[in-house]
Amino acid sequence: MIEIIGLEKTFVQPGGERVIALRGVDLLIKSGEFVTVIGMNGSGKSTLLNAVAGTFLPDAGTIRIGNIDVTRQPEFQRAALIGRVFQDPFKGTCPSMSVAENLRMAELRGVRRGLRVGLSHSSLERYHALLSGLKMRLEGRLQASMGTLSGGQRQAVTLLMATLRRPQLLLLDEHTAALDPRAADQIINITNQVVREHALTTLMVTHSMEQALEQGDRTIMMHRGEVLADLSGTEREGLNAGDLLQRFTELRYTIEFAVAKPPGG
Amino acid sequence: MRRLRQAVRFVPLALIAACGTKKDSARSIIGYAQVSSVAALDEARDGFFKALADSGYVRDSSITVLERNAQGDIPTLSLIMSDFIQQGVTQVATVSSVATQAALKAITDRPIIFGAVANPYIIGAGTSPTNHRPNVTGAEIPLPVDSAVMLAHEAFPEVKEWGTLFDPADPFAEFYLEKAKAGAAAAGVRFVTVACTGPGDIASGIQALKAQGANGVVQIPSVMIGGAFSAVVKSTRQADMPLVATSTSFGGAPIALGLSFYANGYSMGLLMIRVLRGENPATIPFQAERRRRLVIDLNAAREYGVTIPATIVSRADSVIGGTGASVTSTVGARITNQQPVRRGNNPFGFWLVAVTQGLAYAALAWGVYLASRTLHFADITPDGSFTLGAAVAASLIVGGTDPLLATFVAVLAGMVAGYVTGVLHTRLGIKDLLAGILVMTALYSVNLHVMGKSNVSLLDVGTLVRDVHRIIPASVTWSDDLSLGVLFFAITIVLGLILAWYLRTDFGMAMRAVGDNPAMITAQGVDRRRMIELGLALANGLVAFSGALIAQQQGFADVGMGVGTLVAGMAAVIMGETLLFKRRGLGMTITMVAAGAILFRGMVSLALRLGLNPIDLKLITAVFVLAALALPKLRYSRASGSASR
Ligand SMILES: Nc1ncnc2c1ncn2[C@@H]1O[C@H](COP(=O)(O)OP(=O)(O)OP(=O)(O)O)[C@@H](O)[C@H]1O
Ligand SMILES: [Mg+2]
Repeated sequence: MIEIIGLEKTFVQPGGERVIALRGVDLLIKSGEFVTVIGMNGSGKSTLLNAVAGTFLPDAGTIRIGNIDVTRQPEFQRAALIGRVFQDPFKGTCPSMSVAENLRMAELRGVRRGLRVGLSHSSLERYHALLSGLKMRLEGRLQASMGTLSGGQRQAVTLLMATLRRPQLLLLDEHTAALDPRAADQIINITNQVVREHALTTLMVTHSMEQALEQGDRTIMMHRGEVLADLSGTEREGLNAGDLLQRFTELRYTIEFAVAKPPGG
Repeated sequence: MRRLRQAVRFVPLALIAACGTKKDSARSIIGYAQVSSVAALDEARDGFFKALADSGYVRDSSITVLERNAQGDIPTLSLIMSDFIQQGVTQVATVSSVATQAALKAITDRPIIFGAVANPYIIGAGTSPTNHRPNVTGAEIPLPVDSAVMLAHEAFPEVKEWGTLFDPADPFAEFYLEKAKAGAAAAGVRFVTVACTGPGDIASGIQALKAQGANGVVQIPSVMIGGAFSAVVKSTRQADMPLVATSTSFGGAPIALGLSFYANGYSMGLLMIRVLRGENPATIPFQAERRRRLVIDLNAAREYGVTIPATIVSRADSVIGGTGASVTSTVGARITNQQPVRRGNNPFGFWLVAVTQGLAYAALAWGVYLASRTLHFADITPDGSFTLGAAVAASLIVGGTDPLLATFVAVLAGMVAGYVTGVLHTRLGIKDLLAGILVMTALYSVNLHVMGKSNVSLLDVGTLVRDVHRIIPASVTWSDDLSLGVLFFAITIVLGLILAWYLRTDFGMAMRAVGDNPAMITAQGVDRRRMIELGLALANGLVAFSGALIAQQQGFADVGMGVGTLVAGMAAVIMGETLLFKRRGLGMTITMVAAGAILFRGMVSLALRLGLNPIDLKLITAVFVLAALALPKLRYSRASGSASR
């Protein structure tokens, strides 16, 4: 169970301009639920995920993961509960270190790291098996440095790393956006496979309406730092991308009209 | 400002009051300034205060003395002078030339009495003993360098070429070099010179003298070189070059011909008394110390493996050591419990020293590697933590602590320094460079406090070498240099293995990731800030370790030895990376960085050996590092530039 209540965040741009990125977001996610997030550029999707991950502290609101209130916890501390994959394939791994070392570091997410050489034979075998499961022929490249892998291969490994130690919440922020369509498909398939296999609670941001509807059990639509629509169950079942767009335009009009109205009107 | 003006107005009154010999009500306030705590200057100081006391001027009862020591920091001297003015001192006493120079510049309205000045005319105190600035008088001490060269020739006629190191920044260097050359000409021997810009270059400088053909050293006076005289002794001993000192306050040379700084200080004290009693400094001529002192150190002669002709020993004012019931000075008492130095007549001696130093620098290179490459932190703390390691180890060893334990404490001190830099950066948000500069600057004071003076000699105390000789069987007769080389080699191997292991542990792996990808390692639940703090502690612990080893290798710790440490470390790292070519792997990288340190030291030694002017050495190093840093950037911008076209 993930509880996000009244989350607010305002950024002050270097010029002094204030940007309200989140204006009171409420979101309850059941355990094992796979939620997709859509919205226009700058609607606050990444800000929402970053706030949950703890990249910055929110101005107001509460974030609870499981039964733990993580609102004031530093990022590294709540990392024990959260697995992440970023849009940028360079962001999730250490390029100068080997694939095996990257996996080992991820395996210890949120665990005390000791003065022990952790990359044992048995762990290498385990990683070998996991990489084989990706079917990207990465299993032979355990000792290769991460920087030599392609973007798609890196995202696949990052996804594996995010779930190697089972997280309470998996955050995926447009993690296929930087990839070519074939690699993007492959990563989406792996995502599905991993999420279903472990029944992971997941929040996935995407730019593709089709993907948002095809994947997961629930879709939320964000606009100007607010949740505009929250679709699930039968209401979501019958929708296609066109319907979604239609719906979005209508809601947006309502909202903008409401905002444009003078106070008290 | 108002206080200053008041003080200035008060001065003439005080002067008049001081002239009235009977009245004690307006007590004289003497401002006493000394540049550093070099032995010779301390002797002059003791003579000065003894003269005052002998005439009934008791400190704190019949006169007030504001005693200040700039601890080697020359700009501090002018601060001291303005402080004297502000405090309304009535007379200024200066010991050493630089202190006198500072006084000449700042003080014109009250008497200055100087001592321990080699040549007051060079610094502008006057043009002759009687024609000088009206408010200045003092006791000069023109050391008999020419006579010392002639005496050296008399004592060691088989030496056909003598030499000396000189400090190009010393205002008297030229004056004394002229004297030395005159003496050499009179004796009919050749005389060569090598410039030396810092205490750390003394060992290589002696080697360079040897390479130029000198087989004996008559060391001219110099504040910087005198402060690290133990390094001159150590290096000449090991290079088998007899040493003649031109000041008797420097211990460890078989022969020292100089003037008594104590007597010079005493004369200065007598001049001060005349002024206190109302005489005008303008009418008091400068007094030159003439009484020569010849000190023969038979213990030192034994260490050098030389015999001093009986005719010379019989002329000595003081003979240290020997079997006869001859005079034994206080210096001799210290020397009796020294550890025997084992010299080796190794034709590769020069390179042995270079490699040994290189091995000691390996730890420095690893420290710099850890900070700059692993943590991606531009850490400048090493310029201070290197000296800190040397200072802590040297002070503890001199105080009787076991060298091994002392070295260990030095590492801990370095770790604390690095940790502080880390905290400044992570908790207070200070930029990495600035945080390092702050700590480095603060460490200068800390290092002075640790040592209590600007230079601590390790010449005659047991260092890690003693421990080696204790371990190895008696049948193995390694020279000190060789033992140290072997020890440093072993240490470097062990340390390298530990480092390679550490960086592979789960913890070490996380530390490596901090520099590589901070966002990723935070997402893996690692506190990046804590890692930076611990990483910098580790890096500077290594740097301090290197400093502690170097101090024991060169025989002293000096407050100025850290200058350029970071650049040297960077140079070693860059060389190591060049040696790597396309090879990868942690073990290989660690090995090559150490190799880079040895190579870098080797290049510095080679440059000295080839007679390259050591003044340019730091410049060349800086240009080299700059080139190595800029080259990839230039190549990159050219590539991207053509790609965009
Ligand atoms: N660190 C920051 N500093 C200042 N402004 C920020 C910061 N992060 C986000 N913003 C602003 O907050 C708003 C929301 O940004 P956010 O990145 O959450 O949008 P998004 O929905 O992820 O958009 P996209 O689809 O383009 O990724 C934008 O106006 C953005 O400029
Ligand atoms: Mg985004």
